[in-house]
Amino acid sequence: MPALPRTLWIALMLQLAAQQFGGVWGAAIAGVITGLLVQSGRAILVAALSAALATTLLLVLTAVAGGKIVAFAGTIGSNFGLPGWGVLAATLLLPAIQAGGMAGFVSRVLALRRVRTSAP
Amino acid sequence: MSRTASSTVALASLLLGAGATWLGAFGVGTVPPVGRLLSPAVGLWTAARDDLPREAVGRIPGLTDDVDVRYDQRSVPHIFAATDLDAVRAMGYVVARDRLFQLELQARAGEGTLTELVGDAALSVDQETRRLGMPRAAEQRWATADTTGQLGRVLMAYAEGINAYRAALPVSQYPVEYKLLNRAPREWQPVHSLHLFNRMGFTLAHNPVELRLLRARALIGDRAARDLFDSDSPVQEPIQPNGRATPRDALLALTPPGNGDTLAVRLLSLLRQPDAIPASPLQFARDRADHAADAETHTSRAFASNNWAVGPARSANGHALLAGDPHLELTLPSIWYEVHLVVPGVLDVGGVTIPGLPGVTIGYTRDFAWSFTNTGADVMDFWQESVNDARTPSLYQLDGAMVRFVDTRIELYRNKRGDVIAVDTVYYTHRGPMHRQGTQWLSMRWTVLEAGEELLGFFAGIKATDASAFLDSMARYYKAPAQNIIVADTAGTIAIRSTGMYPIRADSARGMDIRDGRTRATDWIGVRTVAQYPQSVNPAQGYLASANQQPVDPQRDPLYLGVDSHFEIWRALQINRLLRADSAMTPERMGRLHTDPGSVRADRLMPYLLYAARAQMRNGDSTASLRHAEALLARWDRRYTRDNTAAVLFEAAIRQTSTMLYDELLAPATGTAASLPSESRLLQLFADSTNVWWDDRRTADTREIRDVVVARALATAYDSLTKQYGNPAETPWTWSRVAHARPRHVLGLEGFSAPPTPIDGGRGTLNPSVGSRRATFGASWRMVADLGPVPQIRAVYPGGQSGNPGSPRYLDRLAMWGNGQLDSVRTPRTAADLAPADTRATLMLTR
Repeated sequence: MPALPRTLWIALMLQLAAQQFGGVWGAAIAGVITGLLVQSGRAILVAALSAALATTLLLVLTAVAGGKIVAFAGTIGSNFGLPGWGVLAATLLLPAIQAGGMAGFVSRVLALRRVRTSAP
Repeated sequence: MSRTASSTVALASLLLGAGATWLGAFGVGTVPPVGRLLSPAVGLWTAARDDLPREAVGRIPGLTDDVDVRYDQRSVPHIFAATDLDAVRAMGYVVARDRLFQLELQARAGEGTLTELVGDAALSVDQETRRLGMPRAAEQRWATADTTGQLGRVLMAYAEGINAYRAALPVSQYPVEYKLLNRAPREWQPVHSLHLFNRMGFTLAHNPVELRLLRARALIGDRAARDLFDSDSPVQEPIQPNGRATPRDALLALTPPGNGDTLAVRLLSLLRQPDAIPASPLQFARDRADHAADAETHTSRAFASNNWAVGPARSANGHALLAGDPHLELTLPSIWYEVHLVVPGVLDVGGVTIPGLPGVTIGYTRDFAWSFTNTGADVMDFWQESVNDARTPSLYQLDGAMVRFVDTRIELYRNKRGDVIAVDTVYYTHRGPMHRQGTQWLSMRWTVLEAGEELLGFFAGIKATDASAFLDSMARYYKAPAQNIIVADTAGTIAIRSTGMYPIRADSARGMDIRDGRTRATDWIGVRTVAQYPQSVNPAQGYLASANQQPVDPQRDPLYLGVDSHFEIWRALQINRLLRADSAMTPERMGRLHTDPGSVRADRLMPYLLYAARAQMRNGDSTASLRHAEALLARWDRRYTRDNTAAVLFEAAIRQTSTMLYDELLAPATGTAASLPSESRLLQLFADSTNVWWDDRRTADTREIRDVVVARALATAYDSLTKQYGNPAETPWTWSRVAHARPRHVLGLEGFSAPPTPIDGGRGTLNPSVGSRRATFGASWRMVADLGPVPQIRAVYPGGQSGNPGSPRYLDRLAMWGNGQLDSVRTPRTAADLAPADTRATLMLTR
């Protein structure tokens, strides 16, 4: 197995399943679960990274199935005056922000709760 | 980290995460729900792959038996069904599979509900559609249709096929346009096909010539205007052969422009729309918008269609040959979808269908092939009505009494959310819809609103076994939009008939003036019989051709059919010239004629340009521009090949000549030409060098003649092009730099439109596929049929079978079309006839 931390692997699997079946809500839901699992400052990074990686993998699967991802990114972009790389970047960035944000919120709230319950 | 810092990070994280999710799911303001669009699982990316799996199955509950669909390597579905209704169901399914969004868009265009799909921007288009009475006509037709009759059963079967596909389609697989618009496909109703048919009527038979003539009369006087907009062509090369071996020139001198006709001036002022009132049937507002936005579009619209057939005596292989290329706006996806239906012992028909119409519009059977061109007939008339209340009328005057309207409809226009964004009241007299135009009320009668059984003509026609029977089937049912239907069969018959409903007006009137609505005496009093239609079967000349020219030589039959100033005589002259010159025609040469770069227009007009330039130079005009322009044109072979360097100058010079020549037609208020006649009129004026038309009324002390104006136009055009494209000696003005065909996406989306495609051809040639900034018009389908014992069909259209911009089948035919090539059409009799190597995919449809 590659040397990815175990939590990142779990988060990645979560993101893959959530984005594939949860559509636009998937990244955020998986981000919440990642926050619950990690419960530390690393949650934001783990969730964001796993979301972007999952999106990349799903795009790669589309490419493997015959999709011309880069060319189609250019096609979509030219409808809005954007370069193709801009469309690709937005595709990766949006779920990363969704997941990272939700994971960060959950993990911080849990951290605050731990501080409160452990106080003398 | 302190509690405060942790709380701040938590809050910021929530805002970011929830905000991004909200933006992704619902959008904010004008920003669309980008998450739905960009999601690899459900967004636009799902369209980035081949959308025709090698094997697939589908269910259509209404089927009586399984239907086997085989897609060949050209992505054409060959439908093998047990009954004709099953074949229609399957056709609905396969069309929806490739063109679901286009289906809905086109039907909504005819229904006047585009705003519900694309938003408020389409309001003026919807208003025009509804004020023309199109949705009402379709709804009434469906409401009164016998649903157990042939028409009803066909429309319902087609709807079943579309809806079966739609119902099984997951959201993730919706066409990209629905995702961009954040909409879902709606259920297809049988009446939607009738809406779409009306829309075709609008495209092909909406020609309110009354307005153009009225404007011209107001500016140059009655006689001069009627000469200019005369329905008789200055050169006669009619569709129904007139027995001549050469075109008949009828270059009558045109009445010089005079003072405006006072009655026309008065009526025009009464009809003029305030700026705040949107487009109405007479198009004042739309014309103004078009002029302001893009005058080239008007020029582009001048192009129409070609079809021709050669009898066995003039073909090299002794078979009848047929060719056709309807010229329409070139869109992506194409207006056409290629399909082949086989029901053993019942029908075997292939060709192109319009997505939304359950039939093959142009195509072939085992026995014959057919194609269409537009007649441009005047089938739309207007009456000035007197009403009891100028603002909210309830009665109109008829034969001395005030009578109630036949119908009054409140039209509600809704946006994408379903909110009402505008309301209209449309009144209907016994003639048709009535609308306020300026301070007046005009009612309208239009054959398109009285049509509706045309599909029956197609269904009966494709079961015919010879050319004549096919034409007779069409004549029985086909009313509008009137078409020149050409057909050739395997027995060697070639035939053409201008088929449709042609009104006969009271007191032998033409339909070029707004009539008095207060009496029934001005109404239509009948329609021409089939025997009176322009037509010909196996003419002595051995061939037939139509290219939107005047169908019958007025020396043979002076009856008025109509005048469409967009139509010109050039293509008809060119086809006839080429067909006369070849007594051993081959299918290959027929195919090459589609993109023949020769131009009768250039051949007939160019000598006047050169003559004028040389005359002015002899008279001492030493302008460098004029000398260079003359030299450049003199070297031109007058062919619109993509590497020629003079056609650009010729086009600009003719355009400039028209501008200078028709200065009397400039509307004082806007400075733009209020109405321009057919370009064919130039022939009459070029032949009449001192006609007052050549005089520029703005130079009071000088009387210009033809050569002065033409030479000036040539020099001006040269200067203008030098400014635009550089010195032609250094950067030649090659045609491919300037003239392109560019099919555009149906929503005008730049990224989903085709790249500019250089072509051989231009205005007046057989391939006039040149676009403006807003649209390209041209050959939307090219077909050549060799009617031997086993018909051989070759065809192409600009685009591809798939409506998905991410599909490899979206544009796969464009290069072939651009190069003027045709592809071999497969015509398997059974599923087994299509070789595995030629089978791209299969689809099994079951109950």
